[in-house]
Amino acid sequence: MQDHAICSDTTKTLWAERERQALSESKGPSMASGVRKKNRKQGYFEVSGSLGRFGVAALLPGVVFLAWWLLGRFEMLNPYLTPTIGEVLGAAEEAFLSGELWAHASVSLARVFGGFAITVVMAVPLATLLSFFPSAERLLVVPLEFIRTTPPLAAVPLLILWLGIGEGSKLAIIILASFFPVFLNVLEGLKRTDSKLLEMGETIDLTPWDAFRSIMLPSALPSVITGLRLGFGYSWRALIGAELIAASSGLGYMILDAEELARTDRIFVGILLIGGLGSLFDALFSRGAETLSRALRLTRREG
Amino acid sequence: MADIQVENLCRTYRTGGREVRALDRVSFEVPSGSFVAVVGYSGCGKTTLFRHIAGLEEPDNGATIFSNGNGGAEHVRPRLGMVFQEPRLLPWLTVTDNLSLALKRSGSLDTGASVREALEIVGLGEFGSAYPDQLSGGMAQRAALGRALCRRPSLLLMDEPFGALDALTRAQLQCEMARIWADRPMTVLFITHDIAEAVTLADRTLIMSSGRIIDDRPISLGRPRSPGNPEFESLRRGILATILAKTHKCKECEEQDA
Repeated sequence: MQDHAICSDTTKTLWAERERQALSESKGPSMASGVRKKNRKQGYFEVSGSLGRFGVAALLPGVVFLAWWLLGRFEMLNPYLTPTIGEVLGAAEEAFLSGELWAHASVSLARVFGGFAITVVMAVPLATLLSFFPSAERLLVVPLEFIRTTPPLAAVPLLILWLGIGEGSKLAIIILASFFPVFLNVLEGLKRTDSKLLEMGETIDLTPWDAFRSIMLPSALPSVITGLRLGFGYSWRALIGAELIAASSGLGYMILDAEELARTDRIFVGILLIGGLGSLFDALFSRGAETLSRALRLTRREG
Repeated sequence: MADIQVENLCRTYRTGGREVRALDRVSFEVPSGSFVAVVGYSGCGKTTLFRHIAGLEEPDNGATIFSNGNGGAEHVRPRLGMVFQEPRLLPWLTVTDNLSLALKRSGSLDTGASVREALEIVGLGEFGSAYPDQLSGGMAQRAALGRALCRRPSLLLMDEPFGALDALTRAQLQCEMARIWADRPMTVLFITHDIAEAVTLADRTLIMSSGRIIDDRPISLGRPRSPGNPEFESLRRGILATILAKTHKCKECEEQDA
Protein backbone atom coordinates (compact mmCIF):
# COMPACT_ATOMS: atom_id res chain seq x y z
CA MET A 1 0.00 0.00 0.00
CA GLN A 2 1.22 3.50 -0.78
CA ASP A 3 2.28 5.83 1.96
CA HIS A 4 0.01 8.79 1.29
CA ALA A 5 1.39 10.85 4.11
CA ILE A 6 5.01 10.89 3.01
CA CYS A 7 5.64 14.20 1.32
CA SER A 8 9.14 15.16 2.39
CA ASP A 9 11.39 17.79 0.76
CA THR A 10 13.59 15.04 -0.71
CA THR A 11 10.59 13.46 -2.41
CA LYS A 12 9.52 16.82 -3.80
CA THR A 13 13.03 17.51 -5.16
CA LEU A 14 13.07 14.10 -6.82
CA TRP A 15 9.69 14.75 -8.41
CA ALA A 16 10.75 18.19 -9.65
CA GLU A 17 13.86 16.64 -11.17
CA ARG A 18 11.83 13.90 -12.84
CA GLU A 19 9.42 16.45 -14.30
CA ARG A 20 12.18 18.69 -15.61
CA GLN A 21 13.58 15.60 -17.31
CA ALA A 22 10.16 14.77 -18.83
CA LEU A 23 9.88 18.28 -20.22
CA SER A 24 13.37 18.37 -21.71
CA GLU A 25 12.88 14.97 -23.32
CA SER A 26 9.60 16.02 -24.89
CA LYS A 27 11.21 19.16 -26.31
CA GLY A 28 13.55 16.97 -28.35
CA PRO A 29 17.25 16.25 -28.57
CA SER A 30 18.34 19.92 -28.50
CA MET A 31 16.99 20.29 -24.95
CA ALA A 32 17.71 16.83 -23.69
CA SER A 33 21.08 15.44 -22.75
CA GLY A 34 22.14 15.10 -26.38
CA VAL A 35 20.76 11.62 -26.89
CA ARG A 36 18.80 11.51 -30.10
CA LYS A 37 15.77 9.27 -30.02
CA LYS A 38 15.85 6.59 -32.65
CA ASN A 39 13.23 7.22 -35.33
CA ARG A 40 10.86 4.39 -35.97
CA LYS A 41 11.59 2.77 -39.30
CA GLN A 42 8.81 3.76 -41.70
CA GLY A 43 9.52 1.36 -44.56
CA TYR A 44 12.12 -0.65 -46.40
CA PHE A 45 13.15 2.17 -48.74
CA GLU A 46 13.77 5.31 -46.72
CA VAL A 47 15.69 8.28 -48.13
CA SER A 48 16.75 10.94 -45.66
CA GLY A 49 17.73 14.56 -46.27
CA SER A 50 15.93 17.16 -48.37
CA LEU A 51 18.31 16.67 -51.33
CA GLY A 52 17.73 12.92 -51.29
CA ARG A 53 13.95 13.35 -51.11
CA PHE A 54 14.05 15.86 -53.99
CA GLY A 55 16.13 13.38 -56.01
CA VAL A 56 13.56 10.62 -55.50
CA ALA A 57 10.68 12.96 -56.38
CA ALA A 58 12.44 14.12 -59.56
CA LEU A 59 13.41 10.61 -60.67
CA LEU A 60 10.27 9.60 -62.59
CA PRO A 61 9.69 12.97 -64.33
CA GLY A 62 13.41 12.92 -65.22
CA VAL A 63 13.07 9.50 -66.85
CA VAL A 64 9.99 10.64 -68.82
CA PHE A 65 11.75 13.79 -70.05
CA LEU A 66 14.87 11.81 -70.94
CA ALA A 67 12.81 9.29 -72.94
CA TRP A 68 10.97 12.17 -74.63
CA TRP A 69 14.28 13.85 -75.48
CA LEU A 70 15.79 10.61 -76.80
CA LEU A 71 12.72 9.87 -78.97
CA GLY A 72 12.94 13.36 -80.42
CA ARG A 73 16.72 13.14 -80.84
CA PHE A 74 16.41 9.96 -82.93
CA GLU A 75 13.39 11.35 -84.85
CA MET A 76 11.06 8.66 -83.59
CA LEU A 77 8.19 11.11 -82.88
CA ASN A 78 5.45 12.05 -85.34
CA PRO A 79 6.02 15.86 -85.57
CA TYR A 80 2.30 16.50 -86.20
CA LEU A 81 1.26 14.69 -83.04
CA THR A 82 4.13 15.03 -80.57
CA PRO A 83 6.66 17.85 -80.66
CA THR A 84 10.21 17.49 -79.40
CA ILE A 85 11.31 19.06 -76.12
CA GLY A 86 13.19 21.68 -78.07
CA GLU A 87 10.05 22.67 -80.01
CA VAL A 88 8.02 22.93 -76.81
CA LEU A 89 10.69 25.08 -75.15
CA GLY A 90 10.80 27.24 -78.28
CA ALA A 91 7.01 27.68 -78.22
CA ALA A 92 7.15 28.51 -74.51
CA GLU A 93 9.85 31.12 -75.08
CA GLU A 94 7.87 32.64 -77.96
CA ALA A 95 4.63 32.79 -75.91
CA PHE A 96 6.48 34.13 -72.89
CA LEU A 97 8.32 36.88 -74.78
CA SER A 98 5.16 37.98 -76.56
CA GLY A 99 3.42 38.27 -73.19
CA GLU A 100 0.70 35.87 -74.37
CA LEU A 101 1.59 33.17 -71.84
CA TRP A 102 1.37 35.50 -68.86
CA ALA A 103 -1.82 37.10 -70.23
CA HIS A 104 -3.60 33.73 -70.40
CA ALA A 105 -2.13 32.45 -67.12
CA SER A 106 -3.04 35.63 -65.25
CA VAL A 107 -6.63 35.49 -66.54
CA SER A 108 -6.99 31.88 -65.38
CA LEU A 109 -5.37 32.62 -62.01
CA ALA A 110 -7.54 35.70 -61.45
CA ARG A 111 -10.65 33.62 -62.21
CA VAL A 112 -9.65 30.78 -59.94
CA PHE A 113 -8.63 33.01 -57.02
CA GLY A 114 -11.76 35.16 -57.42
CA GLY A 115 -14.09 32.17 -57.60
CA PHE A 116 -12.29 30.41 -54.78
CA ALA A 117 -12.53 33.50 -52.57
CA ILE A 118 -16.30 33.60 -53.17
CA THR A 119 -16.46 29.90 -52.28
CA VAL A 120 -14.62 30.46 -49.01
CA VAL A 121 -16.86 33.40 -48.11
CA MET A 122 -19.95 31.26 -48.77
CA ALA A 123 -18.89 27.79 -47.59
CA VAL A 124 -17.06 28.56 -44.32
CA PRO A 125 -19.84 30.62 -42.66
CA LEU A 126 -22.54 28.23 -43.91
CA ALA A 127 -20.67 25.20 -42.55
CA THR A 128 -20.07 27.03 -39.27
CA LEU A 129 -23.74 27.87 -38.99
CA LEU A 130 -24.83 24.31 -39.76
CA SER A 131 -22.40 22.89 -37.20
CA PHE A 132 -24.51 24.64 -34.55
CA PHE A 133 -27.85 23.55 -36.05
CA PRO A 134 -27.87 19.82 -36.89
CA SER A 135 -31.57 20.04 -37.88
CA ALA A 136 -30.75 22.56 -40.59
CA GLU A 137 -28.10 20.18 -41.88
CA ARG A 138 -30.73 17.43 -42.22
CA LEU A 139 -32.99 19.86 -44.08
CA LEU A 140 -30.27 20.64 -46.61
CA VAL A 141 -28.85 17.15 -47.00
CA VAL A 142 -30.87 16.13 -50.12
CA PRO A 143 -30.31 19.27 -52.23
CA LEU A 144 -26.68 19.49 -51.16
CA GLU A 145 -26.06 15.83 -52.00
CA PHE A 146 -27.71 16.29 -55.42
CA ILE A 147 -25.51 19.27 -56.29
CA ARG A 148 -22.41 17.58 -54.86
CA THR A 149 -22.72 14.50 -57.05
CA THR A 150 -23.42 16.47 -60.24
CA PRO A 151 -20.13 17.17 -62.06
CA PRO A 152 -19.72 20.97 -62.46
CA LEU A 153 -18.90 20.59 -66.15
CA ALA A 154 -22.35 19.04 -66.72
CA ALA A 155 -23.78 22.41 -65.74
CA VAL A 156 -21.66 24.37 -68.24
CA PRO A 157 -24.30 24.50 -71.06
CA LEU A 158 -26.92 25.72 -68.62
CA LEU A 159 -24.57 28.23 -67.02
CA ILE A 160 -23.66 29.63 -70.46
CA LEU A 161 -27.36 30.04 -71.25
CA TRP A 162 -28.01 31.74 -67.93
CA LEU A 163 -24.81 33.75 -67.48
CA GLY A 164 -23.32 33.99 -71.00
CA ILE A 165 -19.73 33.13 -71.87
CA GLY A 166 -18.33 35.97 -69.78
CA GLU A 167 -16.75 35.78 -66.35
CA GLY A 168 -20.01 34.89 -64.58
CA SER A 169 -20.17 31.35 -65.95
CA LYS A 170 -16.49 30.70 -65.13
CA LEU A 171 -16.93 31.88 -61.56
CA ALA A 172 -20.05 29.74 -61.21
CA ILE A 173 -18.12 26.67 -62.40
CA ILE A 174 -15.32 27.34 -59.90
CA ILE A 175 -17.80 27.81 -57.07
CA LEU A 176 -19.65 24.61 -57.96
CA ALA A 177 -16.39 22.68 -58.08
CA SER A 178 -14.82 24.01 -54.90
CA PHE A 179 -17.81 24.64 -52.65
CA PHE A 180 -18.36 21.08 -51.46
CA PRO A 181 -14.81 20.08 -50.54
CA VAL A 182 -14.50 23.30 -48.52
CA PHE A 183 -17.99 23.16 -47.01
CA LEU A 184 -17.94 19.48 -46.07
CA ASN A 185 -14.44 19.56 -44.58
CA VAL A 186 -15.14 22.67 -42.51
CA LEU A 187 -18.43 21.15 -41.30
CA GLU A 188 -16.83 17.81 -40.50
CA GLY A 189 -13.89 19.47 -38.73
CA LEU A 190 -16.18 21.56 -36.55
CA LYS A 191 -18.53 18.66 -35.78
CA ARG A 192 -15.64 16.44 -34.76
CA THR A 193 -14.43 18.80 -32.05
CA ASP A 194 -13.75 16.74 -28.94
CA SER A 195 -16.92 17.03 -26.85
CA LYS A 196 -14.84 16.70 -23.67
CA LEU A 197 -12.97 19.89 -24.55
CA LEU A 198 -16.26 21.67 -25.25
CA GLU A 199 -17.57 20.47 -21.91
CA MET A 200 -14.44 21.80 -20.23
CA GLY A 201 -15.15 25.14 -21.95
CA GLU A 202 -18.64 25.09 -20.48
CA THR A 203 -17.27 24.57 -16.98
CA ILE A 204 -15.00 27.63 -17.29
CA ASP A 205 -17.98 29.72 -18.42
CA LEU A 206 -16.86 30.27 -22.01
CA THR A 207 -19.55 31.83 -24.19
CA PRO A 208 -20.48 29.94 -27.39
CA TRP A 209 -18.39 32.45 -29.36
CA ASP A 210 -15.39 31.94 -27.01
CA ALA A 211 -15.75 28.17 -27.35
CA PHE A 212 -15.93 28.46 -31.14
CA ARG A 213 -12.86 30.68 -31.35
CA SER A 214 -10.73 29.00 -28.68
CA ILE A 215 -11.72 25.34 -29.05
CA MET A 216 -13.70 24.49 -32.19
CA LEU A 217 -11.79 26.53 -34.73
CA PRO A 218 -8.25 25.47 -33.76
CA SER A 219 -9.46 21.89 -33.47
CA ALA A 220 -11.09 22.00 -36.94
CA LEU A 221 -8.19 23.78 -38.60
CA PRO A 222 -6.48 20.70 -40.13
CA SER A 223 -9.78 19.66 -41.69
CA VAL A 224 -10.44 23.23 -42.87
CA ILE A 225 -7.04 23.39 -44.54
CA THR A 226 -7.59 20.01 -46.21
CA GLY A 227 -10.90 21.32 -47.55
CA LEU A 228 -9.28 24.49 -48.88
CA ARG A 229 -6.52 22.49 -50.52
CA LEU A 230 -8.93 20.05 -52.17
CA GLY A 231 -11.29 22.86 -53.16
CA PHE A 232 -8.53 24.84 -54.81
CA GLY A 233 -7.37 21.79 -56.78
CA TYR A 234 -10.92 21.03 -57.93
CA SER A 235 -11.60 24.61 -58.92
CA TRP A 236 -8.39 24.78 -60.96
CA ARG A 237 -9.30 21.63 -62.86
CA ALA A 238 -12.91 22.72 -63.40
CA LEU A 239 -11.82 26.16 -64.62
CA ILE A 240 -9.55 24.74 -67.29
CA GLY A 241 -12.43 22.47 -68.37
CA ALA A 242 -14.75 25.46 -68.58
CA GLU A 243 -12.21 27.50 -70.54
CA LEU A 244 -11.87 24.63 -73.00
CA ILE A 245 -15.61 24.75 -73.65
CA ALA A 246 -16.43 28.44 -73.66
CA ALA A 247 -13.85 31.19 -73.28
CA SER A 248 -11.88 33.74 -75.24
CA SER A 249 -8.93 33.88 -72.84
CA GLY A 250 -7.17 31.77 -70.21
CA LEU A 251 -4.94 28.71 -70.35
CA GLY A 252 -7.80 26.40 -71.38
CA TYR A 253 -8.64 28.70 -74.28
CA MET A 254 -4.93 28.86 -75.22
CA ILE A 255 -4.85 25.07 -75.57
CA LEU A 256 -8.07 25.02 -77.61
CA ASP A 257 -6.75 27.79 -79.86
CA ALA A 258 -3.47 25.88 -80.35
CA GLU A 259 -5.41 22.76 -81.33
CA GLU A 260 -7.30 24.67 -84.03
CA LEU A 261 -3.97 25.92 -85.39
CA ALA A 262 -2.45 22.41 -85.15
CA ARG A 263 0.24 23.77 -82.79
CA THR A 264 0.87 20.73 -80.60
CA ASP A 265 3.94 22.44 -79.16
CA ARG A 266 1.69 25.19 -77.71
CA ILE A 267 -0.74 22.56 -76.43
CA PHE A 268 2.17 20.99 -74.52
CA VAL A 269 3.19 24.40 -73.17
CA GLY A 270 -0.37 24.95 -71.91
CA ILE A 271 -0.66 21.49 -70.33
CA LEU A 272 2.74 21.73 -68.64
CA LEU A 273 1.93 25.20 -67.30
CA ILE A 274 -1.51 24.12 -66.00
CA GLY A 275 -0.01 21.07 -64.26
CA GLY A 276 2.95 23.08 -62.96
CA LEU A 277 0.85 25.89 -61.53
CA GLY A 278 -1.65 23.41 -60.01
CA SER A 279 1.17 21.46 -58.36
CA LEU A 280 2.83 24.66 -57.16
CA PHE A 281 -0.31 25.91 -55.41
CA ASP A 282 -1.02 22.48 -53.96
CA ALA A 283 2.53 22.32 -52.57
CA LEU A 284 2.14 25.82 -51.10
CA PHE A 285 -1.15 24.82 -49.44
CA SER A 286 0.37 21.62 -48.16
CA ARG A 287 3.44 23.37 -46.75
CA GLY A 288 1.31 26.13 -45.22
CA ALA A 289 -1.00 23.57 -43.63
CA GLU A 290 1.91 21.62 -42.20
CA THR A 291 3.54 24.75 -40.77
CA LEU A 292 0.27 25.94 -39.27
CA SER A 293 -0.54 22.54 -37.77
CA ARG A 294 2.90 22.34 -36.23
CA ALA A 295 2.68 25.92 -34.92
CA LEU A 296 -0.68 25.12 -33.34
CA ARG A 297 0.60 21.74 -32.13
CA LEU A 298 -2.27 19.96 -33.83
CA THR A 299 -0.10 17.17 -35.19
CA ARG A 300 0.89 15.93 -31.76
CA ARG A 301 -1.03 14.13 -29.09
CA GLU A 302 -3.62 15.87 -26.96
CA GLY A 303 -2.73 16.78 -23.38
CA MET B 1 -17.45 29.39 -0.08
CA ALA B 2 -20.53 27.48 -1.05
CA ASP B 3 -22.96 25.17 0.71
CA ILE B 4 -24.47 22.54 -1.54
CA GLN B 5 -27.85 21.01 -0.99
CA VAL B 6 -28.68 18.09 -3.24
CA GLU B 7 -32.39 17.31 -3.11
CA ASN B 8 -33.95 14.11 -4.37
CA LEU B 9 -31.88 13.88 -7.57
CA CYS B 10 -33.17 11.23 -9.98
CA ARG B 11 -31.77 10.31 -13.36
CA THR B 12 -32.62 7.34 -15.54
CA TYR B 13 -30.84 6.43 -18.77
CA ARG B 14 -32.20 4.17 -21.46
CA THR B 15 -29.55 1.84 -22.84
CA GLY B 16 -30.15 -1.15 -25.09
CA GLY B 17 -33.92 -1.04 -24.52
CA ARG B 18 -33.70 -1.16 -20.73
CA GLU B 19 -33.74 1.56 -18.16
CA VAL B 20 -30.75 2.16 -15.93
CA ARG B 21 -31.37 4.23 -12.85
CA ALA B 22 -28.11 6.16 -12.44
CA LEU B 23 -29.37 8.37 -9.61
CA ASP B 24 -32.17 7.25 -7.34
CA ARG B 25 -33.51 9.91 -4.96
CA VAL B 26 -30.07 11.19 -3.97
CA SER B 27 -30.16 13.80 -1.22
CA PHE B 28 -27.36 15.21 0.93
CA GLU B 29 -25.86 18.46 2.10
CA VAL B 30 -22.30 19.69 1.90
CA PRO B 31 -21.53 22.50 4.37
CA SER B 32 -19.29 25.26 3.13
CA GLY B 33 -15.55 24.65 3.51
CA SER B 34 -15.83 20.89 3.90
CA PHE B 35 -14.04 18.22 1.90
CA VAL B 36 -16.50 15.50 0.96
CA ALA B 37 -15.55 12.36 -0.93
CA VAL B 38 -18.05 10.21 -2.82
CA VAL B 39 -16.94 6.58 -3.12
CA GLY B 40 -18.41 3.52 -4.74
CA TYR B 41 -18.02 0.96 -7.48
CA SER B 42 -17.57 2.03 -11.09
CA GLY B 43 -21.03 2.57 -12.54
CA CYS B 44 -22.69 3.31 -9.20
CA GLY B 45 -23.65 6.83 -10.33
CA LYS B 46 -20.75 8.90 -8.97
CA THR B 47 -19.91 10.64 -12.25
CA THR B 48 -23.59 11.21 -13.04
CA LEU B 49 -23.94 12.91 -9.66
CA PHE B 50 -20.85 15.02 -10.39
CA ARG B 51 -22.22 16.06 -13.79
CA HIS B 52 -25.57 17.08 -12.32
CA ILE B 53 -24.01 19.16 -9.57
CA ALA B 54 -21.77 20.80 -12.16
CA GLY B 55 -24.79 21.62 -14.29
CA LEU B 56 -23.54 19.56 -17.24
CA GLU B 57 -26.74 17.46 -17.25
CA GLU B 58 -30.32 18.04 -16.23
CA PRO B 59 -31.89 15.62 -13.74
CA ASP B 60 -35.24 13.91 -14.35
CA ASN B 61 -36.27 15.07 -10.93
CA GLY B 62 -34.80 16.94 -7.98
CA ALA B 63 -32.41 19.87 -7.81
CA THR B 64 -29.07 21.09 -6.56
CA ILE B 65 -29.28 24.26 -4.52
CA PHE B 66 -26.22 26.35 -3.80
CA SER B 67 -25.91 29.00 -1.16
CA ASN B 68 -23.19 31.47 -0.37
CA GLY B 69 -22.59 30.18 3.13
CA ASN B 70 -24.64 32.95 4.72
CA GLY B 71 -27.91 31.10 4.43
CA GLY B 72 -29.08 32.69 1.16
CA ALA B 73 -30.14 29.95 -1.27
CA GLU B 74 -29.62 30.33 -4.99
CA HIS B 75 -30.01 28.05 -7.98
CA VAL B 76 -27.15 29.71 -9.84
CA ARG B 77 -23.87 27.81 -9.70
CA PRO B 78 -21.20 29.42 -7.52
CA ARG B 79 -17.76 30.08 -9.03
CA LEU B 80 -16.82 26.56 -9.94
CA GLY B 81 -13.51 24.81 -10.43
CA MET B 82 -13.64 21.40 -12.06
CA VAL B 83 -11.06 18.68 -12.53
CA PHE B 84 -11.99 15.72 -14.70
CA GLN B 85 -10.57 12.22 -14.96
CA GLU B 86 -8.36 13.44 -17.81
CA PRO B 87 -6.62 16.86 -17.96
CA ARG B 88 -8.65 18.23 -20.92
CA LEU B 89 -5.98 20.79 -21.73
CA LEU B 90 -6.09 22.45 -25.13
CA PRO B 91 -3.05 21.04 -26.94
CA TRP B 92 -2.50 24.19 -29.01
CA LEU B 93 -2.13 26.42 -25.95
CA THR B 94 0.71 26.65 -23.46
CA VAL B 95 0.00 25.79 -19.83
CA THR B 96 -0.23 29.52 -19.02
CA ASP B 97 -2.66 30.12 -21.88
CA ASN B 98 -4.76 27.13 -20.83
CA LEU B 99 -5.09 28.66 -17.38
CA SER B 100 -5.70 32.17 -18.73
CA LEU B 101 -8.57 30.85 -20.84
CA ALA B 102 -10.28 29.71 -17.66
CA LEU B 103 -10.25 33.34 -16.49
CA LYS B 104 -11.58 34.80 -19.72
CA ARG B 105 -15.02 35.39 -18.22
CA SER B 106 -13.92 35.83 -14.63
CA GLY B 107 -14.33 39.59 -14.64
CA SER B 108 -12.55 41.09 -11.69
CA LEU B 109 -9.64 38.65 -11.34
CA ASP B 110 -6.16 39.75 -12.43
CA THR B 111 -5.42 37.05 -15.02
CA GLY B 112 -1.62 37.21 -14.98
CA ALA B 113 -1.30 37.19 -11.18
CA SER B 114 -3.95 34.50 -10.69
CA VAL B 115 -2.35 32.21 -13.27
CA ARG B 116 1.13 32.65 -11.80
CA GLU B 117 -0.18 32.00 -8.30
CA ALA B 118 -2.09 28.88 -9.39
CA LEU B 119 0.96 27.52 -11.23
CA GLU B 120 3.08 28.04 -8.12
CA ILE B 121 0.50 26.28 -5.95
CA VAL B 122 0.47 23.19 -8.17
CA GLY B 123 4.27 23.26 -8.55
CA LEU B 124 4.35 24.17 -12.23
CA GLY B 125 5.81 27.67 -11.85
CA GLU B 126 8.63 26.85 -14.25
CA PHE B 127 6.45 25.15 -16.83
CA GLY B 128 4.08 27.92 -17.86
CA SER B 129 5.48 28.06 -21.38
CA ALA B 130 5.32 24.29 -21.89
CA TYR B 131 2.66 22.71 -24.11
CA PRO B 132 0.46 19.86 -22.80
CA ASP B 133 2.24 17.25 -24.91
CA GLN B 134 5.50 18.19 -23.19
CA LEU B 135 4.12 17.32 -19.76
CA SER B 136 3.99 13.98 -18.01
CA GLY B 137 0.55 12.62 -17.02
CA GLY B 138 0.94 13.89 -13.45
CA MET B 139 2.08 17.34 -14.57
CA ALA B 140 -0.81 17.62 -17.02
CA GLN B 141 -3.27 16.72 -14.27
CA ARG B 142 -1.63 19.29 -11.99
CA ALA B 143 -2.04 21.88 -14.76
CA ALA B 144 -5.74 20.93 -14.88
CA LEU B 145 -5.91 21.42 -11.10
CA GLY B 146 -4.15 24.78 -11.56
CA ARG B 147 -6.77 25.75 -14.16
CA ALA B 148 -9.50 25.03 -11.63
CA LEU B 149 -7.70 26.83 -8.77
CA CYS B 150 -6.83 30.00 -10.71
CA ARG B 151 -10.55 30.76 -10.89
CA ARG B 152 -10.49 30.98 -7.07
CA PRO B 153 -13.48 28.64 -6.90
CA SER B 154 -15.81 28.55 -3.95
CA LEU B 155 -16.66 24.99 -4.99
CA LEU B 156 -14.11 22.55 -6.38
CA LEU B 157 -15.56 19.49 -8.09
CA MET B 158 -13.15 16.66 -8.83
CA ASP B 159 -14.13 13.53 -10.72
CA GLU B 160 -11.56 10.78 -10.10
CA PRO B 161 -8.82 13.29 -10.93
CA PHE B 162 -5.96 10.94 -10.07
CA GLY B 163 -7.58 7.71 -11.25
CA ALA B 164 -5.59 7.44 -14.48
CA LEU B 165 -2.20 8.10 -12.86
CA ASP B 166 0.38 5.65 -11.61
CA ALA B 167 0.43 4.87 -7.87
CA LEU B 168 3.46 7.09 -7.09
CA THR B 169 2.16 10.13 -8.94
CA ARG B 170 -1.26 9.61 -7.39
CA ALA B 171 0.22 9.54 -3.89
CA GLN B 172 2.17 12.71 -4.58
CA LEU B 173 -0.85 14.55 -5.96
CA GLN B 174 -2.93 13.45 -2.97
CA CYS B 175 -0.28 15.06 -0.73
CA GLU B 176 -0.47 18.25 -2.76
CA MET B 177 -4.27 18.27 -2.77
CA ALA B 178 -4.33 17.98 1.03
CA ARG B 179 -1.82 20.86 1.29
CA ILE B 180 -3.77 23.05 -1.17
CA TRP B 181 -7.04 22.53 0.67
CA ALA B 182 -5.36 23.34 3.99
CA ASP B 183 -3.91 26.57 2.53
CA ARG B 184 -6.96 27.67 0.55
CA PRO B 185 -10.22 26.79 2.26
CA MET B 186 -12.96 25.91 -0.19
CA THR B 187 -15.76 23.39 -0.51
CA VAL B 188 -14.50 20.27 -2.26
CA LEU B 189 -16.57 17.42 -3.65
CA PHE B 190 -14.21 14.64 -4.60
CA ILE B 191 -15.38 11.60 -6.57
CA THR B 192 -13.21 8.51 -6.31
CA HIS B 193 -13.35 4.74 -6.33
CA ASP B 194 -10.19 4.56 -4.21
CA ILE B 195 -11.32 4.24 -0.59
CA ALA B 196 -7.84 4.96 0.78
CA GLU B 197 -7.77 8.17 -1.26
CA ALA B 198 -11.12 9.21 0.17
CA VAL B 199 -9.99 8.52 3.75
CA THR B 200 -6.69 10.34 3.13
CA LEU B 201 -8.30 13.51 1.83
CA ALA B 202 -11.88 13.92 2.97
CA ASP B 203 -13.48 14.82 6.26
CA ARG B 204 -16.67 13.05 5.25
CA THR B 205 -17.38 10.17 2.89
CA LEU B 206 -20.61 9.49 1.06
CA ILE B 207 -20.88 5.88 -0.04
CA MET B 208 -22.83 5.23 -3.24
CA SER B 209 -24.25 2.03 -4.60
CA SER B 210 -26.73 1.49 -7.45
CA GLY B 211 -27.47 5.20 -7.75
CA ARG B 212 -28.16 5.73 -4.04
CA ILE B 213 -26.26 7.17 -1.10
CA ILE B 214 -26.12 4.17 1.21
CA ASP B 215 -23.98 5.64 3.95
CA ASP B 216 -22.70 9.01 5.13
CA ARG B 217 -19.60 8.59 7.22
CA PRO B 218 -17.56 11.34 8.92
CA ILE B 219 -13.77 10.93 8.95
CA SER B 220 -12.47 12.50 12.09
CA LEU B 221 -8.78 11.65 11.72
CA GLY B 222 -6.07 14.23 12.25
CA ARG B 223 -3.93 15.42 9.36
CA PRO B 224 -1.63 14.44 7.77
CA ARG B 225 -3.08 10.97 7.51
CA SER B 226 -1.16 7.81 7.01
CA PRO B 227 -2.55 4.47 5.77
CA GLY B 228 -0.34 2.76 8.33
CA ASN B 229 -2.45 4.25 11.12
CA PRO B 230 -4.84 1.66 12.70
CA GLU B 231 -7.71 4.17 12.78
CA PHE B 232 -7.17 4.88 9.10
CA GLU B 233 -7.25 1.17 8.33
CA SER B 234 -10.33 0.65 10.43
CA LEU B 235 -12.18 3.42 8.57
CA ARG B 236 -11.06 2.10 5.20
CA ARG B 237 -12.18 -1.43 6.05
CA GLY B 238 -15.48 -0.13 7.39
CA ILE B 239 -16.26 1.70 4.16
CA LEU B 240 -15.21 -1.29 2.08
CA ALA B 241 -17.38 -3.61 4.19
CA THR B 242 -20.38 -1.29 3.74
CA ILE B 243 -19.98 -1.28 -0.05
CA LEU B 244 -19.48 -5.06 -0.21
CA ALA B 245 -22.41 -5.78 2.10
CA LYS B 246 -24.72 -3.61 0.05
CA THR B 247 -23.58 -5.22 -3.19
CA HIS B 248 -24.10 -8.76 -1.86
CA LYS B 249 -27.48 -7.73 -0.50
CA CYS B 250 -28.48 -6.41 -3.91
CA LYS B 251 -27.38 -9.64 -5.56
CA GLU B 252 -29.47 -11.61 -3.08
CA CYS B 253 -32.45 -9.34 -3.84
CA GLU B 254 -31.98 -9.97 -7.55
CA GLU B 255 -31.80 -13.72 -6.97
CA GLN B 256 -34.96 -13.60 -4.86
CA ASP B 257 -36.73 -11.52 -7.53
CA ALA B 258 -35.63 -14.01 -10.17
